[in-house]
Amino acid sequence: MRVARSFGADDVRIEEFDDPEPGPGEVVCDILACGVCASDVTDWYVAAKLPAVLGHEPTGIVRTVGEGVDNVAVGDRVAIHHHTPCGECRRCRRGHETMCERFRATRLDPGGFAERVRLVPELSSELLVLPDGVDPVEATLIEPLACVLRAQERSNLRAGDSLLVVGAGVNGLLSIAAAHARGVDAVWVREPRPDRLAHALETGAERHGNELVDVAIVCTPKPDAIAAAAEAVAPGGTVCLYAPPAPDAPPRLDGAALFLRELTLTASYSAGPGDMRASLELIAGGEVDAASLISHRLPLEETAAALNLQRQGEAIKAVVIP
Amino acid sequence: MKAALLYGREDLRVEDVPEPQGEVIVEVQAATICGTDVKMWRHGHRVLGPYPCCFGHETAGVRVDTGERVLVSDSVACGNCAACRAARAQICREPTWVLGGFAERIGAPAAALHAIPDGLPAPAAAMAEPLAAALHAVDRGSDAEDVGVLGGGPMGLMLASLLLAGGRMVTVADRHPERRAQASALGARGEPELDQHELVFEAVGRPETWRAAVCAAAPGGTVVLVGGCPHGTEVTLPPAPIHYDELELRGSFHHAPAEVDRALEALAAGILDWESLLGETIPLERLPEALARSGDGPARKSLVDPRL
Repeated sequence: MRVARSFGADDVRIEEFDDPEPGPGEVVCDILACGVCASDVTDWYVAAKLPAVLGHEPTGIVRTVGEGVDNVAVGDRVAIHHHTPCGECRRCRRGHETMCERFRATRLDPGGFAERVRLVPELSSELLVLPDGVDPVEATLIEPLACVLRAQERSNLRAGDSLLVVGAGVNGLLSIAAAHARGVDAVWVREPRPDRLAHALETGAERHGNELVDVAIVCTPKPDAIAAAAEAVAPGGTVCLYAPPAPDAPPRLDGAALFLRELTLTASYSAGPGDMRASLELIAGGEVDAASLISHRLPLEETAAALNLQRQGEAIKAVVIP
Repeated sequence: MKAALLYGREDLRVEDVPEPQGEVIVEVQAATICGTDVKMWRHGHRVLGPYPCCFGHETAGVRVDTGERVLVSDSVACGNCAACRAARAQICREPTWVLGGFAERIGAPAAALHAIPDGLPAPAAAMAEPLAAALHAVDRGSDAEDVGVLGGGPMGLMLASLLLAGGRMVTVADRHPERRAQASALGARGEPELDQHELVFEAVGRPETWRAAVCAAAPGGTVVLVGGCPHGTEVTLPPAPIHYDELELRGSFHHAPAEVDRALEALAAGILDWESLLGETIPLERLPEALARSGDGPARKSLVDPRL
């Protein structure tokens, strides 16, 4: 099978790998589509993993199943999560399933930018079958939307609250849509790029001025944007660092304000199985308009171009379709 | 009457002043010294009135009108702002501050007064003010069993006492061996530095200790920031643990009135060994030297008794 293997930010090679075979409890899928995540083009983050087949937002169709697999059948169209927790350890029991030791130890073989993928039993058992009518390209947004839902849970965002979304890239736009679905009263947005701001306003957010909000979700790692978001949060409110700050640009906060205004600063990493299921429901139910967010569709051979479109901010969401 | 007045930075004078005004006048029996008093004396503070001004905010005494023993809380929330309406009186936007415990008498709104349980001595009752802030901070934390407290001053040791009373495992980190020994005497572990804990309280109030507290939080952990940094302090936080370890940082400020009553009850129930935190008892005239001396050695709160 063909894969797109990254050796560096500008060095993505199409290579031939052996076709994967499922062991007991395992599933092999033909990949239908795989979204490009901001983390795939966060070069300091990816550097430690290379060379690697990137891509962790895939949907597929079940090609072969190993012995004992009974939750999916050949021909099922599925959304695939790339990590899964054990569900039993102390961190899982306390709601920190993405901190579970097994979570990051489970991964796709070889990755999403490939013709096929092998799923270990832990990942196979979490496959989500796509309902009829859900487009597999649009369904690549299930994983990023699940991450957004987790961040909103961690921020204790509730119906009737007000929300500031900082940055209207795909995660910001998903945040706005998910907030509307949650019954959030007022959704404000900050975005310097006019085209992105316009897109956010079309989805029902309002341009932020000086309103104080209950929750701010910061979808950019820029320290200045984080500090400004903290200033916009009302006493007792929450700032969620959604984008991982870069090692050389740590977040800076007003040490007196965090204390005097009793702010909560929270962060959210990835998404758990429950977030994936909730996300599928939102997309299948049409509550999040996935189609409007997929801006670019490219074949596997153009994975490098897809990564660049995302890196340079030209794409809202680029999707690779093998 | 005699009162200690701040005239400027490190300029404190004990003088004869006019009798205080207020809804209720309280004869002060005990006024304990807090780290914030030291900050007010050294640097001034946003809640102080124009110089010369009175201060002291951990005050217990007797109502002149009824003879009732009362703790004078240091603030009354407005009851109208968004924070008050959300049941967060501690972060009221327009509180009335009630300062002036370092004096023979203090005037206060009746709403600032809390009855002292019978049998609880005035020095212990004065400590209900910081203990209420500690109770509030514990409630801002999670229910994790393994807890680290960074800073073994009076606030750190009060936090440790409350957490131990709640059945938690507590480690107190402080660079002073005397304070580590005090933590051990309470039943906590005293260490020079924190290892990794699911719940961490920062009870120092410096950017470097905020960072140390974040680094001491285990994956999925919570950090409660009890020590406020001075105004204008920018804190640079370590980026990787916050995101990849899904940490949560929560500021904890002050207390709500119900927490002051809970603190008085906790003191009456013997949850805090307040005597071990009590330093020397001094007259008003010795307040300047007590402020200058605080910070090092064992964690003890000096007590001003204006009747001396």
